[in-house]
Amino acid sequence: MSNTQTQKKEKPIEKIVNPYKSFPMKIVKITDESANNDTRTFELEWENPEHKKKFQHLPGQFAELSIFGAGEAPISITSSPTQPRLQFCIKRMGVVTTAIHHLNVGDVIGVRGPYGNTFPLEDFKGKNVVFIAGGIGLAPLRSLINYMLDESNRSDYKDITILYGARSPGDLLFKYELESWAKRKDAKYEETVDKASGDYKGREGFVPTLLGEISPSPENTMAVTCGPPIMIKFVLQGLTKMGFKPSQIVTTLEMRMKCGIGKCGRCNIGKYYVCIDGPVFTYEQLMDMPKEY
Amino acid sequence: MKNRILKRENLPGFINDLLKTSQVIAPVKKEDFSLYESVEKGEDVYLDFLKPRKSAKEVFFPQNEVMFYFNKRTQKMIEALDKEKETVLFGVPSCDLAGIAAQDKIFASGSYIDVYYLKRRKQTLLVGMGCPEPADTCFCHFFGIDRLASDVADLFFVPLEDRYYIRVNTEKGENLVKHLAEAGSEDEKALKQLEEAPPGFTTKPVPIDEIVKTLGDEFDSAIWDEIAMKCIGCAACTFVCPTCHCFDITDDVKKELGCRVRTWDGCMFPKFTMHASGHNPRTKAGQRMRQRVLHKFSYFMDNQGIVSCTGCGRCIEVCPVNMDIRETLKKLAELVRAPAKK
Repeated sequence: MSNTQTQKKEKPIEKIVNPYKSFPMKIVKITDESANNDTRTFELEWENPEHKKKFQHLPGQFAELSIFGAGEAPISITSSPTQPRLQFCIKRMGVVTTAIHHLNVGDVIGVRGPYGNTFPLEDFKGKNVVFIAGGIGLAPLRSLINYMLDESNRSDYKDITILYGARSPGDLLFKYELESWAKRKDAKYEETVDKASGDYKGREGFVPTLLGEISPSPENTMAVTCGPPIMIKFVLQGLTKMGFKPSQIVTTLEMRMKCGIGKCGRCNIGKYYVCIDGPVFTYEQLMDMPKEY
Repeated sequence: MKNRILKRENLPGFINDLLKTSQVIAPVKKEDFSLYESVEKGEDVYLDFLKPRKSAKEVFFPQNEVMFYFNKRTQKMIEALDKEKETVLFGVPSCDLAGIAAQDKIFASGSYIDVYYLKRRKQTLLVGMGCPEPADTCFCHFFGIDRLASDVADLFFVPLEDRYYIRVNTEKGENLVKHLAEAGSEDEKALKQLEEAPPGFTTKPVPIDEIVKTLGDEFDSAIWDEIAMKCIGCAACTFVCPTCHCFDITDDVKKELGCRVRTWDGCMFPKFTMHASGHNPRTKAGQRMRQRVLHKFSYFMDNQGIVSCTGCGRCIEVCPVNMDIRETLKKLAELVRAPAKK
């Protein structure tokens, strides 16, 4: 072949792993996260230990989950690499996520990845980190939160503040973990709900309001945010008002994807492909990108 | 490597020789157009149309392709059996060869190699075919593509009056033509004459380099809505395009057995970017037109160092509402030149 591109890395074709092939994982635990049962966390175990060794993720990455007969969906990895098993927190939305919700403990899901970039872990070292999450936007941040709070990493970071909000008390996900974060001496956890109900005694109000109330100092601090677009918009405004520079704000984007490996063209925004150049971007990068997300 | 000569009348025999050891894919006549298809005999090769209606990309990246099979009940994957077939892709014009070079950048390079594409690409020898005279819709001259030569091909045939002048680019290619007569001084003279004759393109080239440089800054321009006004979103342009590479992956199931299928998709379809939540970053035709044009003339340059248009003109031929990308480029050239708008 005369094309130089393909000639450079002359690896025998039989040795190239088919990137579209997923590997089987067994569901070992399913946790209902929301009051209306539309969001569940699936804890998975590799059927083949060899596949486990090859799948080494870092916070911020995602995987393509596959149900033969339904298709594939890109889902962020909610577990920290410091945890023993992979976890995916999945809201029932379309064909694939509905099929996944129909599965039981013991059933098999195909997984390929990990894909995408990671949160800029090195940039966070020696700094305060403020997390601002809304609804299921906590799922991708949770991987990073638990990574930083893990005793092997905690000393790398200074003050950790977690601000979390949801529409209603029943929509607050990972409740079992929120409580443990709230109890920690080495982290600050604050939550809010748009509308309180039942015996909920906590704060009522939107996430950007909570952010204003806590008003973290931008001094030596990085902010990480994920949530619904309207929340992100006001969080960015709030952080900017507090003096955060765009390079101090990190978020993770959602886009429709198919291949996950930069081929199918679906998640293309400007010169970026969210699947391989993202999903994690700084606000500085976002300002430089077409507003097509 | 010495260049060779083949008499036109001996072409069917040459193809028949190839068929003894390889599959041959070449333009085949269908009503009033041709398509790249596997041929049974040398006489099936039809070169009177300048270019097949669909581009050569489908030889490596078919419109529909089973990636693998699976059992839905057991959730076990069944790998598709590959049929190893040495293939000669014959009669490919320069625009399509440039398209293949662009597809190589997507599928055969980067951190992830697309094995389906690469397998076919590796087992295929490319034979180019020069265009003596461009069609009305051709505009490969916008991009400096040489319609009489291409180093993407292993062999490149240039049609002279009663014979083909064969440029031999690779050893693999040379093996197929070693037995043919070497090109002599008369042949070189005839080739030179053809190369120097005015090519007769119907349009004046637009300064592509100038457009590419600053086109990214025109994201918020009103021009996109204006250009897209008559677009009906059929995406035919993306299907016939030699460089468009977007695809969908879906599962097809009959009872227990199913397959995962890859199918061409395109950014001109309204639902291409629709999230499961219903949110869609590109709901308007103008936004989709902008994506297609910027991807070809700005983003692809940023990422791959080339523009992803080869001037084949197929999108102009198939568009049901007569959109013409040359007109778009002309408008864009005016736009990037107008200082008032900056």
